[in-house]
Amino acid sequence: MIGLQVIPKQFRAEVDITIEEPEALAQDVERVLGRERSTGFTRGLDQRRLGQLAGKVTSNDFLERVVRVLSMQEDPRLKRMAEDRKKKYPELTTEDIAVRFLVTSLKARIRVSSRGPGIYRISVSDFSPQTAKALAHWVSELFIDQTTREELDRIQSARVFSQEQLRIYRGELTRSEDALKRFQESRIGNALENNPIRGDNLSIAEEVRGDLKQDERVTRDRVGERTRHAISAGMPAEDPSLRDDAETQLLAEDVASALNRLGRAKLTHPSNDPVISAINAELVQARNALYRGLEKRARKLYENVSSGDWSSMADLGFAQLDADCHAEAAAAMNLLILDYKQKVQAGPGNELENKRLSDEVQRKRDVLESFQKQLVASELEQQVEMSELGYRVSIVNKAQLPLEPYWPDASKVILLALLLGPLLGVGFAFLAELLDPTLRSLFDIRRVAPEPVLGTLPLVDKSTIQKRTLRSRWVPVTVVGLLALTAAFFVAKIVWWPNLGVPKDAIQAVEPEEGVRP
Amino acid sequence: MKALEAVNRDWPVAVEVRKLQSRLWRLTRKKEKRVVLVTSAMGGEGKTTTTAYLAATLASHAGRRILVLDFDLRRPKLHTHFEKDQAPGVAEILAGQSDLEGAIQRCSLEGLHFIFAGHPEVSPSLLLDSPRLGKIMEQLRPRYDLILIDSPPIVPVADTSGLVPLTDSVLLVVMAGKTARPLLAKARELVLGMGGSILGLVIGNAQEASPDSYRDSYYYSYASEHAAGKK
Repeated sequence: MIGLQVIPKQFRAEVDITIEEPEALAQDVERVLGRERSTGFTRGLDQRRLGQLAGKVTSNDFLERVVRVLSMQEDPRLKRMAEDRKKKYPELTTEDIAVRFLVTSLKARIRVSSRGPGIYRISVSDFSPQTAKALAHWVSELFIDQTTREELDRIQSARVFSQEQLRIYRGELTRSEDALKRFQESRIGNALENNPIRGDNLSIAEEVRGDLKQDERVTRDRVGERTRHAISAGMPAEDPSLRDDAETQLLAEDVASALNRLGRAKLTHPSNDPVISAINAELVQARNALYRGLEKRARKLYENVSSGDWSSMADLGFAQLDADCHAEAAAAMNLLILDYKQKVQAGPGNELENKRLSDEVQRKRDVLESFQKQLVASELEQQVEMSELGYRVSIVNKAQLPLEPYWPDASKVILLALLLGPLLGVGFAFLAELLDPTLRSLFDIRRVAPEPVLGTLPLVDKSTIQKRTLRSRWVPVTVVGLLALTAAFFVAKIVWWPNLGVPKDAIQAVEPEEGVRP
Repeated sequence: MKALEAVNRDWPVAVEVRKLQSRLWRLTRKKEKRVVLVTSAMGGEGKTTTTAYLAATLASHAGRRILVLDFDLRRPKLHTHFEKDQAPGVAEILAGQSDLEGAIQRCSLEGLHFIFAGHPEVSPSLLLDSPRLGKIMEQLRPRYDLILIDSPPIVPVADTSGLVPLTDSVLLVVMAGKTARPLLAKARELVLGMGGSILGLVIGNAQEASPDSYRDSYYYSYASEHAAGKK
């Protein structure tokens, strides 16, 4: 009874929470509870660990967060205590000391127990019912927030990792494409674009080149002849002004272009092909246009000479330009032939390298495409996961204000007293008997003094064994004594110590106005 | 005589005292021990009462010459059992203030003589260390069949230790439920250490020492004899 009055009453507030798919959150929950985590992440292992998720919350980080959310470290009495202890721990601030004290206190008062599959109960005990309720409520809120935050961090980390991987894959592809492009450009730099020469028309190309050179020689001969004729007519055979004007140059380029195209066409088309005929016709037109242009130019330049003379100059100019065009066409064809021959020589190595680089580009393209598809799917999954976070951990029963203390439990205390009392009494009596040096029985006396007992006299003067009288009435004496002691205690409690057993001023807990959940 | 009346008042007491005196007498005759020191470990264990009862019962047999000496000079109580004057007594004899014959007192029992403690004017230890004590004992020894000496408790004071060599044997009184184990052991050690021999034990408070024997032996016989007496 005295114990029930003296023992400070404690109140307990409880919150029930459910965790869907607790296996997925087992590691997060363990971290909050401050349990050591084993490596590995198999389903069976998590289920085993889930069964062990019971006991006191020991995570310092989590409890420190609880303390700071409720501003418990601002309690004036606690601050004073922390100030006093600062002398002993000069390296810590007053707030740190207060927080550490509170964390240690909370560790003994917050328990998590399993109520069934996915259902957990958070119990918080305190001397003040209001503080117990506040602690239970905010511990559960912070617990949910912590596990949700951990999950969000995990999702975010996975997302960042995926983006990083994507960037790496893209970089790899770009590098491979650049390598292929550089290789191909290096080949094109030394070669002509779109060379029509293949192995089967090389001879035709050489024949065309030969023809063009032959035509050039013939034309050069005609230039020599025309030059002698012009000189004999007193005309300036070396005058470049007849050929150097822009219009004449354009007409000469048309002739050169036609010759080039004709040469190329002969490589890919038979001689009776309409394409050949068309280009031939263009060539004829271009040459006629060139000649007429030259005539017009000569007439203009040499207007004071006879028509025969300026006509011969036009011929000379035409022959020179025609020879140049043939030379240019022959050189172009020669270039094509040389390019082809160079390709043929480096052919196998270059082709292999080209194929290798092309295959590498394609492979990396495939990998990137595949990864992008996976990323999209993963992103969708994460979006769903994030949308479900709020529902994964939820409160089933909110914290209620405890009206009755849970400890000391009167029935348990009384039952304990009824069970332990007699045991203790017997124990004490046994101990008293064991430690009592008084000789009582004949046996005891004979053990000390083995001399013969000449007589045993009854007790005559009972006053000599006054203690024995009390001793023989120990039961009623003890009962009366205990009752008297209990009565005296209650009287004293009512008169002098009305607040005995009531803890003074529990540490304040200020509930934040805003929630803590993301 | 008060002592004798006290013995006879309580039937179990009378039976036990008679048994005790009978055994004591036979033993002392057999071993030729005339001077018996009655002592105990601590005070209040019944040695004076035992001495008085023994003396009265012993002397009630015709022809016996019993002398009782009270050497408990610090707290003499023997004279109260016989309703006699305390002085002159042992203290006066040892101090030379009285002679032996002047200190001997008599009573209605012809064979019982007393020398009580007297009033010591000096420390009892000094008196008991006197050389006269030995001479007195030598003078008294041949005159009586049995000399009972009531002494102080042996453990707290040294008076009794000095008396042990002057006696033939020691009767150790133990009170069940009061005497402590270490004290009894100490008393025994002191007696034996002084060269004395323990004749036997007298255990007081038989109700505790041997309750079964006490209940069976005495209550029924008491009832029957008491009833017979009434009838």
